[in-house]
Amino acid sequence: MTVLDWTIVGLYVALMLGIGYWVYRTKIKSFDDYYLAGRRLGLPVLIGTITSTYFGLDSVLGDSEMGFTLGASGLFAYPVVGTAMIIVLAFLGPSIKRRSAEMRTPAEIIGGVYGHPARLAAAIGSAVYSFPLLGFMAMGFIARVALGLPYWTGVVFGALIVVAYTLLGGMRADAITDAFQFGIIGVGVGAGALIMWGRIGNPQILEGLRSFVGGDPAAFLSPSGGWLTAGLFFTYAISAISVFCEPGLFQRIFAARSDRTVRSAFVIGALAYLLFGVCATFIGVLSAAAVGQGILPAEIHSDEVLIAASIRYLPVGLLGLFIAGILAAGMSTIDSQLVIAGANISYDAYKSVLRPQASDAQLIRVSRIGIVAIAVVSAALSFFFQRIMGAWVFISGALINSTLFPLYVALYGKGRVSRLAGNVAAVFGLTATIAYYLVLTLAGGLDPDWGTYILRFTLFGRPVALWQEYNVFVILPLVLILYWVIHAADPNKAVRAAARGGKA
Amino acid sequence: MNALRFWQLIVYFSAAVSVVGSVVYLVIYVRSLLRGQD
Repeated sequence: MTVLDWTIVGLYVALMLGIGYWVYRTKIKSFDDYYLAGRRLGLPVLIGTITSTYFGLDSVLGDSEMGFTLGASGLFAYPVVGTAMIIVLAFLGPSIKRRSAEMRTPAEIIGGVYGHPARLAAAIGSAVYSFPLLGFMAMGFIARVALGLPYWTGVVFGALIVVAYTLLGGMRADAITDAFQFGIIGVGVGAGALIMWGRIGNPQILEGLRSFVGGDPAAFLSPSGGWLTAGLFFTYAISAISVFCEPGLFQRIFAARSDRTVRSAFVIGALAYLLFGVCATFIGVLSAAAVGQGILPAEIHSDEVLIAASIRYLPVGLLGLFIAGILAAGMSTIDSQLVIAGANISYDAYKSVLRPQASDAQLIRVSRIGIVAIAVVSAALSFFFQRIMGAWVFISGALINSTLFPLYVALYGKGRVSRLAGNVAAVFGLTATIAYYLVLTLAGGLDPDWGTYILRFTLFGRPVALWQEYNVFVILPLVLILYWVIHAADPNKAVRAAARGGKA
Repeated sequence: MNALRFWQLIVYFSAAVSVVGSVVYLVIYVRSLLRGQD
């Protein structure tokens, strides 16, 4: 990194803080202004913020990691599945917006139909999902790998910067910084892939890959990679269903100016997500060729290839811009999560249970206190958690199992509704996820080969291996069964007032 | 080599659209931001 690159990174951080202060001075008048940007987001900013929320740091680094380890077939692990999910949301999003006109959170939709217990369970699931633990860990990682600084500097300074502009500007500051990040990441991964391919050259790429895989690289360049089956692809798709109850995407749907804006933003966002994903995946593939050629070190870790390749290949200036974009990708995920977790505390818990008459000013104040508390706890935890995937499996399970089913029954179910069934299903989904995680961690063993907790036992004479990763496959069907059994047995079904702001 | 050429076409197309699209996007967005429309 040269002085010019460092200057660009510094200017970018200053721009984000400036945006937070500007929004704070001019735009924040009510809780809707703070949490939903006044429900006035137009198409350009919505495209940027939707894509940035979905194409966060985990996607940028994850895509290149998949390309590096799996080859071209890595495209099917994230980018293709993710694009398909966003396209489905392009069709669902407008109808979700119409059906929940005055709503602010998925937990509120659930609470409006079933009542407080279900709302609180969904709010806890959403807040757990929105703890920016992984984001802080990633900031420490970037500081170490890209900037050559100690891990703690990334966590502490990243937290201070992101908390500062989030406290000031709320969702609107988040959306504006997302839009800049979207543009910079697009230029960065696109230029990175073009420059890398051009500088290594086709014959050398093929030779490098041959040396990297230790034989014919045909499988490394094949779309199926010799390992991808329809069943595995389906499993990837199932594991990505958290997007359908992702509080960040719901927040953006509610914040959009109109339902037409939602559809257009999701369609364009899906295309951008796919294009960025192709570029990032192939930066990973090209990095494998560079390792085979001896240009990048053979001992490089798969999650470091994108940054190492950028430092090696991007010219002065563009490198600084790209590193700023990577930092912003991390920050834009963290700020979005902080705003949501703050609203889960202030709006879904404080206002709905403790103080229904709370004013907008009080809600914003409680949100800000919640944001600082969550940021401090997450930053502290980021020094202790070692297994990123273990944490991710737990938090996405908590969200999906508590929220997905009750939410979509509340939005799209027809006929009379059993409030008891909804409350039991949501509370069971949350508590069962926690119990599953605890039981597997305490009674199961950390498998050294797979790097995850597995509980092995015998059922009806057959050996069974329960993985930590299976929690959604085990618990979600139980939630579904529990809901329909109680729904069928409950004599006190209420007439649905649906999720349109009325009470069931 | 054929597979590599195929991916080269896909990657060059994706990368070119990403770079040009992102620059055009930033210009459009900053203009609408400065006009107070977003």
